[in-house]
Amino acid sequence: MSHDFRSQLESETAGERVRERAAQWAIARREQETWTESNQVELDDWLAQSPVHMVSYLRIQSAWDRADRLAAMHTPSNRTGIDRAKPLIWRISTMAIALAIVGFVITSVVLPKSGEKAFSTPVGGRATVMLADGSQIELNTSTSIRVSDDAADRAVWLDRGEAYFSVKHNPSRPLVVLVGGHRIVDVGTKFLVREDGTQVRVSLIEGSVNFQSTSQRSKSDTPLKPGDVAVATASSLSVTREPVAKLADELGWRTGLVIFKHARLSDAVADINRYGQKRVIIADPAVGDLKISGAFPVRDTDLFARVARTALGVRVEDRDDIIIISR
Amino acid sequence: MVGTSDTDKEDPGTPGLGAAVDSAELNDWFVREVLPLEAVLANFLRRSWRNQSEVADLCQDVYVRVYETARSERPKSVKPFVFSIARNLITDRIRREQIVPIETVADLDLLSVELDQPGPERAVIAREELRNLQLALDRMPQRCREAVVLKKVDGLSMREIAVRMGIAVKTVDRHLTDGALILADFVHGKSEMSRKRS
Repeated sequence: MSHDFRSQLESETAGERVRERAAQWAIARREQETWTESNQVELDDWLAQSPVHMVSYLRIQSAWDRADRLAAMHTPSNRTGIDRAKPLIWRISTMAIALAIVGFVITSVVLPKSGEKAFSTPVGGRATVMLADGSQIELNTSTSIRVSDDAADRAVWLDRGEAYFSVKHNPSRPLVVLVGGHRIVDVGTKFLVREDGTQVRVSLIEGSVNFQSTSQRSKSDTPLKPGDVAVATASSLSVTREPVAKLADELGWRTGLVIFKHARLSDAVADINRYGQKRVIIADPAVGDLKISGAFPVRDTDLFARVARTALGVRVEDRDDIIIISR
Repeated sequence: MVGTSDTDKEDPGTPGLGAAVDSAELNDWFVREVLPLEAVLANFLRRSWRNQSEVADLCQDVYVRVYETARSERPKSVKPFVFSIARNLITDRIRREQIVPIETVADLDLLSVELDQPGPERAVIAREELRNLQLALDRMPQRCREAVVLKKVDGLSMREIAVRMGIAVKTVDRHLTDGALILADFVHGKSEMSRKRS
């Protein structure tokens, strides 16, 4: 039989028909608006009819689910402006991200010139606080700060959570961040501060700050340079140097992403749990040591779980408010 | 038509209700261990079979045999298992069609070489996977790609995509189906396997 694959219809093989049907099922199944119990029964029937249905479905469904990662392909650097050189599709998605950011900025508050004000974000929330001089403080999930911005000084108390500071330096009025008994004095800079109840972590992105830990109050300040990460508890202080690119990943939340590169699954879960209403629980410690990479929308716990399942082959059990990951 | 598939002849109804639990584990195994071999497998099939448009079907048939054989017992070493099934399948086909394409025989001898080459990483790192997804998007016709982006990047429902693109839901389904088939080729096979696209 002559076999011109350009002439359609009669040249469609049985295998192709199966693959197409499998694709339709894979798509329909993830279409939450319209998927019903009886659809599920129908799908189960179809899968039981023949192993060729099953293998085709598994093949396409796993690929279709993994394509969820497309949602996460925008790293923070993609955020700036529209790049004409990029194909239309990336511009579309950049716009989607930009819109999301605009949505958050609405919560920003321009401070009056004096007085102390408190700001906080809920779990999964994000906000930007703008000081009178244009300096910005971006608050991550579940974060509380107080700000005093008057003629005499600029002080910010980070009572809880994580904030990214982008400070316009003013030598006569340095900005001081007070967190967990430690003081951070800016010398014109961008830095990230996180307080998690037991320790304070300061990552310097640009410029420099002087870090004054409670444990060394009597000694001189510790100057931090870009890439420096200071971790302080009530009684200890350590400073390590990280590649600035890695620190940039830690700032993924500013564009609504949490970014992992070969992170232990248990660490990734701890991080994702900071944002979502759903909690992820690792039932098997061995699973916690698996490594995961990727960028995930901060509040899409389901996506994270799905990716963990397809990429790591772990078992994922979804019970309304918690997701259990096991071997 | 030559070598359509074993599809039509498969014993139906093999996985009964009672097999549901076992199937879940078998399915996990299949997705985790077998599908990542697709790039190497398709490459082998392409070199072993004259008619390139049948490679996707051949691959599917290999999967069916692998899945069925693994039902009773999972092989310790997956790759040699899959490739011996592929080789047997091709041998069967050649016998059935009573043609012996010379290059096929020659290539069967290359099988051992193929097995020694480093296979695809089991845990494909995210970046490589993103690249494959990107390649798949690039390969899609424009409207198809648009629909897939609205679905996967913007997370719209089919109905919303239909409104946004000004087309029928059914057409959206068509586009997404085409997109999913291409995605599957690139996610598992790292390239487009079937050249047939309507």
